[in-house]
Amino acid sequence: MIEVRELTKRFGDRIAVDGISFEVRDGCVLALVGTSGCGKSTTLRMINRLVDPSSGEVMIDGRNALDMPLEQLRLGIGYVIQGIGLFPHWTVARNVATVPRLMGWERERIEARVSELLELFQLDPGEFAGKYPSELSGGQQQRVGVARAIAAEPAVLLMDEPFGALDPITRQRLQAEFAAIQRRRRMTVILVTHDMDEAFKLADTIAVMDEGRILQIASPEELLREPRQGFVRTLVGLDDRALRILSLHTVDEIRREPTGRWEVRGETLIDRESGRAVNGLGAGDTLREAASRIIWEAVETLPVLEAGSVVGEVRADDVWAAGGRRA
Amino acid sequence: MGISVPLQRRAGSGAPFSHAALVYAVPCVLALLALPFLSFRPNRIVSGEGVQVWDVAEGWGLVGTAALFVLAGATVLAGRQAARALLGFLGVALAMAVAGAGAKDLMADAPQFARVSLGGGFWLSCAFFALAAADALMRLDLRPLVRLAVAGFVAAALAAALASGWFDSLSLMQEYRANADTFAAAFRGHLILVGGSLLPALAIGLPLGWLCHVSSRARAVAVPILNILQTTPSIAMFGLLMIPLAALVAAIPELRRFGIAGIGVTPALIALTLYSLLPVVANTMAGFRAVPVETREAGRAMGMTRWTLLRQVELPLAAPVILTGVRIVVVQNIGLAAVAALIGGGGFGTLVFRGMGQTAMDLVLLGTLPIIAMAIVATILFDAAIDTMQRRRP
Repeated sequence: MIEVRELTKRFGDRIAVDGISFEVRDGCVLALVGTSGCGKSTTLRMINRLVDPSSGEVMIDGRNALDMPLEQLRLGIGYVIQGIGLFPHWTVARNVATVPRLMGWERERIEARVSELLELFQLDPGEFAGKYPSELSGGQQQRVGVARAIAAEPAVLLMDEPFGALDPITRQRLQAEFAAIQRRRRMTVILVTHDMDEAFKLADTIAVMDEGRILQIASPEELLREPRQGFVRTLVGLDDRALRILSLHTVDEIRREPTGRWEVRGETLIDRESGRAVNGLGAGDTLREAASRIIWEAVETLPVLEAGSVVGEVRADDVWAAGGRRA
Repeated sequence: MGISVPLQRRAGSGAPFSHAALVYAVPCVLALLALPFLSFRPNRIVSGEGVQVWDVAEGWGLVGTAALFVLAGATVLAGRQAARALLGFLGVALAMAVAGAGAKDLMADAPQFARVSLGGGFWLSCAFFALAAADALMRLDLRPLVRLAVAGFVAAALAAALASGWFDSLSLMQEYRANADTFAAAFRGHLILVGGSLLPALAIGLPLGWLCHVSSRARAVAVPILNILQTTPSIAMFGLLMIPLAALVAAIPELRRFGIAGIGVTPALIALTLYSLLPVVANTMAGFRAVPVETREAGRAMGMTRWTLLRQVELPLAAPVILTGVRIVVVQNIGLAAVAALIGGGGFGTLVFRGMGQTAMDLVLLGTLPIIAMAIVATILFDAAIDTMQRRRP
């Protein structure tokens, strides 16, 4: 649990961060979103005290971060930055082992942990442990950067534009990987980004910042449904908000019991009413994907498949209702 | 040797004809044609009469000349850089062999005080063969250990050749035999001057370099002072140090017991140390500056103390640049230490200045050649160390 109270940073006459407060519950992801210079990075860097606050409080699990010894505080906080900042003279394994080594773990424990993390980030330890950062692609370097940050299972993970330097395809893949790992590990994360899509994809709560203040802090859906006037509305973008809301929900949430109209014939699935072959949806697919498929296939209903058998169906009306304005 | 030239290396590896090698082969041949290979002198001091390479010793002269020309041509036509390097070394060896044989022949029936010195033809042809070999080795881009092995082999071959007695008729070797004790003392003295100035230079320069890196105020004060020190002529520096040191010893005579005096080793060591500071400080600053900002911030954010960050991250990353500065200092001080003899500081300068006093050029050479050799050895060793450090992390 992180509680930030009335946190302020002045650089001379300029106020970079102006008395902001928020809290992040254990296992949740908070995204700080805004344009360059809005104070989001400074806020993040005050939490591990790379920047000293001018006033205000940061409480981590009930302890005041400003009263803790600097190194001890930072050992307990994972940190990922845009430039990655891997140590170029150390191998991948040594990089990942940085914080465990600083904390004085035993060698066997460190080795086991490094292998576990490399596997978690889909980097074969046999191949990658001995490589140097310069031998890795940008995406691989960023994976190592995240693995290094969470190596000692910190109470808090801070990420500053973690995927910003990557090409769009690699970025999306890493975002998906990180979301999957986060679902399993339930880390407490503060993520700084200027990419609204990234925030919607990864965050449980989004704080929109401008000129050092938080303009609105809300769940992704609430932010889409009821954005404040002005800057928030511009940043969130209203044109495709229905689709964005749909992408926050999964097929599982609105699926109904299957009717008898679906027939499995070998590998293919037949819609008895139209006599056409159809591709089923997965239970974990987003409603955005479901909507796209419904429009493309020009049907009213699609089956939901799990391990080759029909476990339910999704109706177009239900999808439209999920993405639409609430009465 | 640490510099690699990828484009040329590629082009040179299989080409049947090397334009670069022409740069060495043509002057080599011209020098052999135009300048005397040896010079015969009735005694140690007078200037002598030149002997062309084809005129030396019965049999050796014409065959040797032809062989040298063939070797020079072969360095141009050789298809592989390794062959070029080998031919270059063979050229040096052959030139030396011819010179040794010629000297022996000239001295066979010469009067007692006669001397045979090496002439311009010998020096220039040797130098160009050696350059051709070094150039070829550089293009081969050998691994550091292989380079050290090659250098060790060449040094051993040279030592064996000198010890064989083949060159004993040369005036240079006669000077060595007459001054063997002084030579040994000069060698020790030179090592003391270079080593003894390097240690304090590192002890002061590394922390000062780090301080200048972190504090712009320290930089603003230190760097101009070091710049002035660096540009002070060495003789002036030695002279300027004599005054305060002499005054110091006069005030505290006890210091004399530690060997401190206005002249001698002490002012020489101080002067060399002062000359070392700017390269060490400048390279230390450059090394630290080259550490990426993100790397430093990542280290801090991960909970490293300043000291841990310095020891585990900043120093290892800055090390190759710092070591380059140390190499500059060592090579520079090997040369500057020669001047220390002027104030009684010892070293090979002793032989140089004694030779100049006696107008005995071969004695001057006896002091100069080891200085050049030491500088080359230092360069090879440091380059190998720096290269090893950088290859460890591709």
